[in-house]
Amino acid sequence: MAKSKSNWISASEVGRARFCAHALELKYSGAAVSASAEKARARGDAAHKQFNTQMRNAERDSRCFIASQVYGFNDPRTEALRNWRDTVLMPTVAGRLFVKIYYASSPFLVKVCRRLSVVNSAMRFLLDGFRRVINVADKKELMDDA
Amino acid sequence: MLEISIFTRELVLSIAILGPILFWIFLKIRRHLLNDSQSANPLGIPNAELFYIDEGKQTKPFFNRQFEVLGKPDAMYKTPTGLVAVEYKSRRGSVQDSDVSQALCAALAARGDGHNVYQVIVKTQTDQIEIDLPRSDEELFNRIKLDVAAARSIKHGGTGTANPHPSKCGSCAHKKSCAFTVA
Repeated sequence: MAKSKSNWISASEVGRARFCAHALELKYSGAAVSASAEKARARGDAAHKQFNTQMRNAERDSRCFIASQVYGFNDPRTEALRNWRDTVLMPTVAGRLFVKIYYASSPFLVKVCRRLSVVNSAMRFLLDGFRRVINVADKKELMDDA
Repeated sequence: MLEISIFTRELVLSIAILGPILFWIFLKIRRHLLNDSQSANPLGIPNAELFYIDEGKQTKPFFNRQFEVLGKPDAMYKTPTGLVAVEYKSRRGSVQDSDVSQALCAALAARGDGHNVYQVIVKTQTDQIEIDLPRSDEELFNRIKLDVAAARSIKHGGTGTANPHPSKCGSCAHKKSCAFTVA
């Protein structure tokens, strides 16, 4: 076994020593790692990335359940609706109340959309119309400002 | 008289049907309002802001020179009280002692670089525990010193005691080379 003079110990080594000290000994001795363990590590890495994304997304309130279901989570149309929520709804008390009621009810609607494609299509139609209304209002506001 | 009784019956029916639906909506809204007021992060830490995230190999570990341990929490959240370190395990099942040791060691390493970590959260896909850390680094080190000593001894050429258990051996990367495996 290759002996190390360094006293430094990593957190993962401490965890391994607790898990099974002999497994750590085998690791230091260069014992082969099974193919299933390599696959498990790859799965773990992917799960960590996913968790990191989840934490980052939670930092910015990225909920927009129905739009995410209809258009996709990262779709520019969903993003536009989130921006509209943050800039138009959230500054007002009534807007915040509306957002809370929307968050309370939309998970149920999303479930229905997933099960019934006709409802999903209807939601898309309504959201498309709603986006047009928002765009018209935004343009009118810009013209008024000009 | 007949009209009143029909009206009463319809009213009772309406309440019987709409009542539970309205109550269900009320509960849903209430739960959401409570959740929103507490936290939006996936760990449920109140008033917390993401402070650090382990991006993999490009993220350098923290070093505690006093105890000669290094490590990286998977994430750290900043709260009004200090930092909360997160150790995430992607598997299902309960949090193990080894997960806790690793998390405590990573927190000690972060403290060595000047970060005021006062709590550790260890999370699997189905379980989550919070551990309040002692204020003193010595006390924190005492919680893991046996594991650190064992790891250090093995690193310097010592032997490690096998701790065979079907669930541990089943997930061990070295089970094929191990004479003690019970997998």
